[in-house]
Amino acid sequence: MSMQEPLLIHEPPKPEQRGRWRRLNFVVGLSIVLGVVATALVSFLWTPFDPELVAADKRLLGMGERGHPLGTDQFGRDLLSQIMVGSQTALFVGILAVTISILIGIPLGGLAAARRGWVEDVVMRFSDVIYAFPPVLLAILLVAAVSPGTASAMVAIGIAYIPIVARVTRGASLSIFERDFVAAARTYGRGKTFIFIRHVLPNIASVLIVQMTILFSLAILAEAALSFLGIGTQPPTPSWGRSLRDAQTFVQITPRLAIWPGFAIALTVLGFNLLGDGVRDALDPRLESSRS
Amino acid sequence: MSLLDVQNLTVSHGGLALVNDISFTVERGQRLGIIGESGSGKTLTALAILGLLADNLSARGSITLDGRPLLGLDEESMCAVRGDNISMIFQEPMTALNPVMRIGRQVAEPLRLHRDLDTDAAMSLAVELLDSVGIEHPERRARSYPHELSGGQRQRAMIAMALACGPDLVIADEPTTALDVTVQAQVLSVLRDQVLAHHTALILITHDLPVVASMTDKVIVLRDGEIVDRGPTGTVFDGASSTYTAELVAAVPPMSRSSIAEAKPEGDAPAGTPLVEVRDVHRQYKLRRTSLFETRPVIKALDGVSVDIYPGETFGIVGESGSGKSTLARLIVGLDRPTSGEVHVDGIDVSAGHSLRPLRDVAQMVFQDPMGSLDPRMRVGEVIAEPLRSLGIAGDHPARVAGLLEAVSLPTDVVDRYPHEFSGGQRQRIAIARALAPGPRLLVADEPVSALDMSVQTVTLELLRELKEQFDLTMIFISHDLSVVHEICERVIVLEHGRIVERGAVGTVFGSPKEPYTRTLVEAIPRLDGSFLTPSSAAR
Repeated sequence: MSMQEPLLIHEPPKPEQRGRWRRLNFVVGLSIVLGVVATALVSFLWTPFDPELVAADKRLLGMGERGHPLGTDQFGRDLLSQIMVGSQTALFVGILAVTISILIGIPLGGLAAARRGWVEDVVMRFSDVIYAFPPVLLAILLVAAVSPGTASAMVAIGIAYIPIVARVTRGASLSIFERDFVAAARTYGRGKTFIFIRHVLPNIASVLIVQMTILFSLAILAEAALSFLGIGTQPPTPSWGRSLRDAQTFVQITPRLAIWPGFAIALTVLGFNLLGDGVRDALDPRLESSRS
Repeated sequence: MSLLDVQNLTVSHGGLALVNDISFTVERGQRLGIIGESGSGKTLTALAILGLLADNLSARGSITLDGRPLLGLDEESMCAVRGDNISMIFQEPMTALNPVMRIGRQVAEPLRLHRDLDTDAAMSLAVELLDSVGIEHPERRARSYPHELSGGQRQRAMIAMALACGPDLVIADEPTTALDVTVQAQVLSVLRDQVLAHHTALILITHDLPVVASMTDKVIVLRDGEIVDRGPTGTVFDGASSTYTAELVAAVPPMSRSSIAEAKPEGDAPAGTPLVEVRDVHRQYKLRRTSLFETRPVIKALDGVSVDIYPGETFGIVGESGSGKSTLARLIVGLDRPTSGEVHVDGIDVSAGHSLRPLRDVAQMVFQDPMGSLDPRMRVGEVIAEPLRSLGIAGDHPARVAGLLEAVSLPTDVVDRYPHEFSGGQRQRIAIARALAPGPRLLVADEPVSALDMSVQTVTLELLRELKEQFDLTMIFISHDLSVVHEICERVIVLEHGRIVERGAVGTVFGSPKEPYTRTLVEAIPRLDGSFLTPSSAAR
């Protein structure tokens, strides 16, 4: 062969400036998420005060008064301790809802994309029906049927997110199933299930991971909303959403009671979103050279 | 003074010069060809002239149009130049046209922008323009959306748009690469007639030497961002002053050299039992219902095809896009099932659509786009070992993978790399190695070199030929490129609208075609001696 090509002439362009920003996103996101997880773990063992201890003589203390860093609420409970324990609820909620939605949504979406035809129609119309129910309404229904509580509310939220995951999975898989490497895998005898797991999933993982982190933060928000309505986490278990609700009456006098739980929610949601972006980039082998 | 004067143009990314210190001029009415393979900097040069370089690229040197400097002009003044003085025709008209805007309005847009015409005047001019580039029923077509037009019509509309304001210079970047060969001939002749009629200068950027030969009077040859050769078109290709140009010229298949058909010796008539038997195969696709009460419209991708392919031969399938050649390939390797008819490969009934496990050992496929046919998330070693694992072939897999890599002339240490780290030609070799992994007897290659640069095409074809001998393969070679098929195949069928219109030995079919369709295909091939675009083939 006379004209041997030089090896590796096809270096991808290096996204320098953008890459640096992305890495910053990732680091910030990861730090926030690790911070939330650490807080949750610590709160199992230690909190400054008992978060559920009602003390009539310590009602509505300001920040730093009598050893309460963030002050106390209208029942004299320590706000910092409540927020710390509330992070347990937030993480539990996110994990439960996202797990339910991906465990059912990904196989459904994959099935629709792999089989096409009437299977796809049935799966996607079923998704549409679930999608037509507002998540909060679904949660109210389930809570009414079973019992109010964090778990049942989150199972409802998880079910409500199934169509979202199924749609994203199907949409992304469809284009991958059309690619020639899938046809090649079929010519060497792979079945569609194997192709979906081994070839399609890794190629849509980045889309799914971003979706998962978004759903994770949405679930935290949904729990806050449900608790705000009083059908989520039941007292005395602390929850950021319920803290917000409890603060409603006093928001004119002590906005701090609403600000701190609200800040915790916003920060956690932001952390997961940033982390999702970062993980997506980390999973892409095409960007590997720019990382090293 | 030259119309366009490019002096010491350097385009760089970071510290790396992608276009390195090139100078050239274009006179009024002159047609310049810029030749180069992918990565040679030919498109960057065009974008630099138009001031359309991406933000992370910087251009130095000087570019003047009619004595007016273009480089360093602010965006607003550059906008006034684009479309009015210089316009561009892109490779893929489907993406270069706005899909939600009617053709007429798109062609009229530059007129309204630069000529300050009102809507009606611009529209009637647009219709005239569409008529002049050979679009039938221009008034009706002006109201169509891009997807309602064929690829050739879209590219004609692009030409109309580029010529709308009577620019001094038109830059066409691979304008016909995405088109079938007969459509390419039509579009090129329209483009040539138009620039000649309006005395417009043309820069034609392409990797296709015969196209340049028939379209331009001056060429420059780019390699790695530098000009390696320049001169009048005929002289550069005949004299071949640089070795690189000589290599490029040598890479042109014999059939694309001149219109005088080169005799190809006929091989022995095939004998024995056929390896592949295709019996009266039909494949129909049902489209979506257009109305509730109509029956679903049917597309006949294959319409009664019968063919026998014998062990050891290289069998060509040619035809334009939509002729059913890929469908036939997919039927043979069992990726699809015929609506009726039978396909047997090595005695295995492929058309049954089940228990195809034995077929996987016998028939493997190489696909057109080597980027799409390799899983981007798998390392090369895994990619090639996949068929072995899937088919449960025992043995020392790493050793087999190494052997296969050696067979396709790739170093064995590439197993830990990902596909995106390789060039197109190298990726295609990986795909070939994977296809050979189960030790097939039949290799179905669907446009295996169409996505590759000309010189890489030659090397890859040579490799396929060697592998065919080494592994004792039967090969089905599918291509729209007649000259490639002519080079590598012994027997051939010509498909049109799912039917075989002609069959026989390659030399006979292409040398003295009996069917008018085959003749059109053969005549439409651009030749290095510039002898295509005769009035007969330019006619619609």
